[in-house]
Amino acid sequence: MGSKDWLGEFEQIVLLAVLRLGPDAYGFRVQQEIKERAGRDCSIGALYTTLDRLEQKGFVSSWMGEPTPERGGRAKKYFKVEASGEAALRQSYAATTSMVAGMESLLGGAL
Amino acid sequence: MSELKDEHQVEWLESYEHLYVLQHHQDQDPYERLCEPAGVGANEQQWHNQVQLNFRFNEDLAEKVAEVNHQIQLSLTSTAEEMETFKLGLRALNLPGQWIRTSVKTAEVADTPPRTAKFLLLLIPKKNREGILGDLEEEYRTILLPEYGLRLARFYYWWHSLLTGASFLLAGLQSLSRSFKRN
Repeated sequence: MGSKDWLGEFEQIVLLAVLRLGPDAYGFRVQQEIKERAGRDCSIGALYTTLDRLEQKGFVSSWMGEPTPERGGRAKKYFKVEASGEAALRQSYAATTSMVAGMESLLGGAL
Repeated sequence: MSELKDEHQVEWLESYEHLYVLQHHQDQDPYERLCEPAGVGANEQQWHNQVQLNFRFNEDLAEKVAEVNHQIQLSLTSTAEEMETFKLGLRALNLPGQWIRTSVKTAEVADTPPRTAKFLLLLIPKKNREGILGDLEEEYRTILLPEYGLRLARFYYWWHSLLTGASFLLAGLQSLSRSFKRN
């Protein structure tokens, strides 16, 4: 994995949200999941630009779903984490846990 | 309810026909006798006459109709106020008069997001446009409108549309900057 493939903090959060939601991962749901779990408000534009970047790196794939009435007849854009995305997440997690080792008392068991 | 001339009252009652039918389905009592299904099917004029007759002696129904009428008036006033605010906002942006009139016309439907804000979203890349417009509309209908009411919901929709446009503009500039650096 090259240096360009390291995940940023927001990229990690977005990937984890998509992974958690599974087959129901589309823009609005991902945004709500991030808000509920991470307590972080993000604009839908910031979310899509991040997902675009992750898609260019091959970490996620997307496809258009069916239109629904509560969306004014517009289709949902679904996202799925690919194997390379999962690998990148594992690498980030390993790096973080390695850096945190021995500092649990300072961080209050945050991980 | 004050006494009205028969002709006038029948005309007025006809305009509320849908309300009586709705009432019949939702609440059998005390308005059931006003909405006999057989009466509607068999002889419409007879049914109207019966409704008219019953209506005169039914203070509850008169109050109910007056209340509904009041609610409709309130809703219309609220929408008018909303449009006035919207017009002021557009004027503050110093946009051409014709554009303002078109924009106000398109903002008339209360339960749909402001259409002029949607035009702003035409600036975002086509591959994401459908998904983003749908997500913003879903947010508007399921969260913003029920939680904040019409005025704030519209404000937030505008704000989120601007943020979305800004995010894509920033991403575009970053991409441009990277390509310049490479060259």
